[in-house]
Amino acid sequence: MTLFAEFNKWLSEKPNRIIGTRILQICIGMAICFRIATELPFAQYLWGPHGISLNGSASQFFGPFLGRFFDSLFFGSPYGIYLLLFMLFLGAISLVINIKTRIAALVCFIAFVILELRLPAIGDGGDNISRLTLMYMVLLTSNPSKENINKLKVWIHNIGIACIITQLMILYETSGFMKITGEKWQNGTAMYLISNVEWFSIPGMRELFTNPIITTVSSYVPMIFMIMFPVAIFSRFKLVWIGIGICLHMGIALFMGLITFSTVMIGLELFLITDAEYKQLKITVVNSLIYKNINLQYQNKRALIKNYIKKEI
Amino acid sequence: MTIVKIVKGLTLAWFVVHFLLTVLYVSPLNPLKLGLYPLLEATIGTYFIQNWNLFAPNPVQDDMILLVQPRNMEDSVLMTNEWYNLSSPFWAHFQKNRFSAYDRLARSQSSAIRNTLTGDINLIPIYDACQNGDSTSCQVYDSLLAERREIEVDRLVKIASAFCNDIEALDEYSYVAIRIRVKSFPAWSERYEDEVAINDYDIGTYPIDKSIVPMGLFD
Repeated sequence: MTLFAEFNKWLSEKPNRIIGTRILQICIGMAICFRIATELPFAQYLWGPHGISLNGSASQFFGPFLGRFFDSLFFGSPYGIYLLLFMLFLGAISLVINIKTRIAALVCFIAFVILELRLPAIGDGGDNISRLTLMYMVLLTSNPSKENINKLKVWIHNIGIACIITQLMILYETSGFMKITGEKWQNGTAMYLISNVEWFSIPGMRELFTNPIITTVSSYVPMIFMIMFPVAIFSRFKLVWIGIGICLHMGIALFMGLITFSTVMIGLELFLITDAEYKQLKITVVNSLIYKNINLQYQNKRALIKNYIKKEI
Repeated sequence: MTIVKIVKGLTLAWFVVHFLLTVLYVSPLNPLKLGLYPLLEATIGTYFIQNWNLFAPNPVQDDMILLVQPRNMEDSVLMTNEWYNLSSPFWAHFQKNRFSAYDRLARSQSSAIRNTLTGDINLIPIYDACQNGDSTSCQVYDSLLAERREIEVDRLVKIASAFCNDIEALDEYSYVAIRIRVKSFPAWSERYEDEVAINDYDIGTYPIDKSIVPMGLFD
C-alpha cells in the first residue's frame, strides 16, 4: 500500500488517539487553570485599561469589527478582563472534565488569542503551542461512543490529530535545527550558561553545571532529541523517545520553573501514544511483577481485615 | 462525487498546503521564504503565528535587570543616588516558589529590556545581514530598532510607574529615571573565576504615569 493510501486509510477508518486526546485536553485545561489562578490577582496590572499593555488589539486576528468589539467588551472597563478570564476558566474546566470539548476548545482559543494580543510580552513557547493546539482541538472528539460519529466526523477528527502531530514535529525540528546553528549548543556549554541566569535556574544547582560531563550531556541530549524526534516517533524507539521527552520536560519544570510549558509538552508527548499502545501498556503494567506483588499484599491485608471484623462480630 | 468526498479532498488539500507554508514560515531566511513573504505573513504570520527559537540559536546568558530611580524633576538626582531593582526580587521569589506568577510578571519587563537593547527576534536576520557587510540592512536595522525601542521604552515607563504608584513613600515624585543593567557571566573556561561583567545603560528620565495600576507587591 502506498504512503498516501495508508494515510487515507488512517484518516478514514476510525477515530484515533481518543485516550491521547483526553490526556491532552486535561493537560492544556490544567495549564490554563494554573495561569488563571496565579495571574488573576495581577489581571488589572497586566491586561487592564490602566495596565502595562501597549493596548494590543484583537483586530489583528479577528478583523476590525469583531476585534474592536472584543477590545471594548474586555478592555473598555476595569471589569472586562475578569469576564474574559472567567470565560477562559469555564473553557479550561470543560476541557478537563470532558464536557462539550469542541466548544470549550474554541472558547479557550478565542480568549487565549485576545489575551496574547493584548500583552504578547508575557507569553512563552508553551502558550504558543497551546494556542495552536486549541485551534486544532476544535476538530477533535473525545467521546466517539456518545457522539453520533459518522464517516465525515471521523475524518475531521483524524485531520485534527494529524495537525497536532505535524505541528509538534515542526516545533521540535525547528527548535533542534536552530540549536544546532548556535555556538553555545554546539560547544556544549549552553546549559552551563543557562544555569547562571537567575530567571531560569536554581542557585543550589549551579555547581552541578560546572561539571563538564553534566553540562555537555545536558546540552547535547535535548538537541539530539529534538532533531531526531520526527523520525523517532515513527520508529520502534517511539515510546523510548516519548519517555525521554517526558523526563526532559519534567527537568525543565523543576530546574527552569516553566510549569505550564512542561505540562502542555508532556500532554503532547502522551498524545502521541496510540490507543492500542495504551492498552498494551496497561496490560504490561497489570502483568508486571511489581503490580502483582502490590496486588497480592493488598488482597492479603484485605483478607486479614475481613477475618478480624468477623471475629469481633 | 459526494459532498463527503469533496470535503475530504478539500481538508486534505488544506492540510498539505497549510503545513508546507508553516514549514516555510519557521525556516531560516531563504530565497523561497523571501519571495513568498507577503503570503506567509498574511496566513501563518497572522492566524498561526509561531516561533520555536526556544533558547536558540543561543540561550539567554545574561541577567537583564530593570533599575528605576524616582526623581522630583527631570534632571535632578536623589541624594542617596539609590536605584530600585525591579527584576531580582521577582527571580528570587520565583526560585523559591515555582507555582506562582513571578515568572510572568518578570517576563513583561525582561522582554521589554531585551527588545530595547537588541530589538525583537524578527530583526535577527537583518542584523546578521548587516554584520555580514550589507549596508542597506544596517540602515534598515537601525531604523527598525529605533521604532522598537520607542515602543518598549513606553512599556518600561509603565512598569516603572506601576512600581512608583505601589509605594506610598514615592508619591511625591513626578519623574522616574530608567536604567538597564546587564550582568554577563564568565565563559566556561573562566567558570571558577567569579567575575561578572556589569554594564549599565541609561534609558532616560520620564514622567511617572500616575494612572497605571500598581502591582500590589512592593508596598
